[in-house]
Amino acid sequence: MAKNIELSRRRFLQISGVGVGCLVTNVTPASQQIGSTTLPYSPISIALASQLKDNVPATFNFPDHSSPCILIKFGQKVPSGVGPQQDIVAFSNLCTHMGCPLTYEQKTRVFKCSCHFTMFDAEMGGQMTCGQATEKLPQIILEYNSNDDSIKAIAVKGLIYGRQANVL
Amino acid sequence: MTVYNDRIPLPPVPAEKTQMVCHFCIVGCGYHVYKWPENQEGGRAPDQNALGLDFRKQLPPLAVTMTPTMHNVITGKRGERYNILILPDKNCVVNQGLGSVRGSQMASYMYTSDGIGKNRLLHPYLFNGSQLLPTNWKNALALYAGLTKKILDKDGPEELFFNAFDHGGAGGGFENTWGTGKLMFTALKTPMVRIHNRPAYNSECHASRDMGISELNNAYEDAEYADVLMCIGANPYETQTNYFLAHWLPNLQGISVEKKKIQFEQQETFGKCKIIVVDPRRTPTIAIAEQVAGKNNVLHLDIQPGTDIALFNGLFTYVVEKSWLDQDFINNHTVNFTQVVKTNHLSLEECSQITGVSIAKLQQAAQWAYQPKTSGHLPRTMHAYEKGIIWGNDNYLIQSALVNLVLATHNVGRVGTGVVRMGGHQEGYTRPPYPGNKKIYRNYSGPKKRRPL
Repeated sequence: MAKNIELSRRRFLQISGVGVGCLVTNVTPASQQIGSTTLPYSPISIALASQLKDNVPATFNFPDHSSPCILIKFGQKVPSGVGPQQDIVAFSNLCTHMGCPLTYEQKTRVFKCSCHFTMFDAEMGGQMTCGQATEKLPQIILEYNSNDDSIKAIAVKGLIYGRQANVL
Repeated sequence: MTVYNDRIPLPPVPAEKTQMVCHFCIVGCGYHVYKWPENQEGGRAPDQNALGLDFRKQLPPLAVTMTPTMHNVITGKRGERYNILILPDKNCVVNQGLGSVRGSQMASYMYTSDGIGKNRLLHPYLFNGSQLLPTNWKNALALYAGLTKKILDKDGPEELFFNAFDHGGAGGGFENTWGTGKLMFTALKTPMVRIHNRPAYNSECHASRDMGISELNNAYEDAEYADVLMCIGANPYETQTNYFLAHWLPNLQGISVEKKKIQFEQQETFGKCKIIVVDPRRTPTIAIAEQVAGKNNVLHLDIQPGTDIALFNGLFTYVVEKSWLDQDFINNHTVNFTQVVKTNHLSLEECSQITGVSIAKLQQAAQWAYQPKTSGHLPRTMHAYEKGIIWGNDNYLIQSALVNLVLATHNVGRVGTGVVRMGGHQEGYTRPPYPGNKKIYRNYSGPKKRRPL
C-alpha cells in the first residue's frame, strides 16, 4: 500500500512537473516536528503484578521475539523496582559479554552465564559481580498501572547483546 | 546515543582498521581497532559495515563481543574527531575472539574531556604542605633539576634513588622505559633504581633464569596438553582471563582430548585433566574449575601464606623418596642433584606442619602431578605461577625450590609441561644498561659512601 502511495506521488510530480518547493507544502513543516530521544519501542503488557510469585522468574520477549527477557518479583523493594511493593524488575536474559543465555539462581538471586561464568546481581539492577561482561544486564523499563494491575514493558536501558540498536 | 544508551555506531566499510595488543594484563590478547569520522556510521546489512555482520537480525551467541564500553569518540592532533571501536580479534591465537573485562574497555579509557579518562594528569602537580597543587612545567622542572643537581654535586649519583614504573601498556612500554632508562642510567648515572613491584630493576624471575630456564618456556597451547595444571599463586580466571578461558578451560572440560591423541605417543595413557591450585585463598578459579572438571579433579593446597618454599621442598623430598624422577634428564641436564636432595630435605610431616596442608592432600598432589601414569610415562604437569610467588622478599628462594621439583620430574621442555609465568608481553621492555654495565643484584658492592642516618 505504502509503495503505491509513493509511486503515485512520484507520478504526480512527474506529471505535474512541480518542484520540491511544492512538495514541502504537503508535509508538516520541520519547525513543528517532534523528534524522539528513544528508539521506536512498541510497549507490550507482560503480566499482572498480583499473579507473580516472589522470586519465581517469568519469561517474556521484548522488544521482539528474538530477545528473551526475565521478569522477577522479589517481595521486597529493589532499586528501580515497580509495582505496589516496588519489587518487580526485568532484564534481558542474554549475557552482555558474548550473548549466552543466562540462568537465574533463586537461592543467590543472581544471573549466571555458563559460557564464561559471568554473574549479574538481579537485586542490584543487573550489575556484574564477577566475570567478563563490561555492561550491566540491559534492564527493561517497566510501567505499572494500578487501575488494572498490569505491568508493561516500554523500553530497554542498555544495549542487548548482538545488536547495533535494541529495536531491529 | 539515545537516553537509554541502547545503540552504538557501527564502523562503515571504509573505516581504518588496525591491530593491537591489549594494554592490560600479561597475556597479550589481540584486538582490532576501527577508526572513522565522528559523524558517520555503517549500515546494518553485512555489506554496509566493516564487521561484515548482519545487524538487521539478532546475532547468535558467541558471534561477536561488542558493547558500548568498546566505543568512544576521540580527538586527533588537529582537532578532528573520530569514532573508535576496539573489538577482540577472532583470529588471534591467544584470545580467539574473547574479550576480558579489562581489554573490552580499552576504548573507554581513551582520553576524552568528558569520559572516564577525564581525570588524566595533564599538568604537573607539586606536593605542597599536605596536598597536591597544580603547577606549571617551568616550576616543576626547575625544582626537579635543581634538587637533582644539588644531590649530584654534593653526594654523587649513587645517592639519587628512583622508584619508577616500568614497561607500561602495549607498545608504549618501549618508549617509556628507554626514555626513563636514558635519564637514570646514562645521564644521571645512578644504579639505585627500583621499579613498581620489586627491589631492583631486574626480572621477577631471576632464580629461574639463574638456573638456566627462562620464565617463558612453553606455549599457551601446552595448557591444552597437560595431564595436570598446577596453578601457583595465580588466579587466572580473574587476572589472566583469556589464557584461562581459551586454553585451560578446554582441557578441564575434556575438549582437548582429541588434540592429545594426535600429539602423544600411541601407548601413552592419559586421564581427565586435573588441576592443583596453590593459594591461601579459595579463588573464583577454583570454584569454576570444580564446576567444569568436577570436584574430584580439583585439589586446593591452601597453604599458610609465605610457606611456598616448604611446600616445594616437601614435595621434592617425597618424589625423590618415591623415585618419581626422570633420572636421565637429571644426569644429562642438571648438576649437584645429590647435594640438593640432602640440603633441601624436608619430610612430609614437617612440610604439613609448616604449610598447614594435610599429609593426605600433599600425597594426593604428588601422586597426581608426578607419579608415573599406567603407561609408565611421567605425567605432563604444567606449573604456572604469578604474583603469589614472584612478588615478595623470598621470590628467589621460592622459585628455586619450584624449579628443583620441576627439573627432577622433567616437567619442562616436554609438550604439556613448563614452569612458567601466566604470560609475558609486558617483559618486553628495553633500557640502556646500568652504569658500569653490571647487574645490581650481582657483584654490586653498594654505594661508595653513605652518610649516617
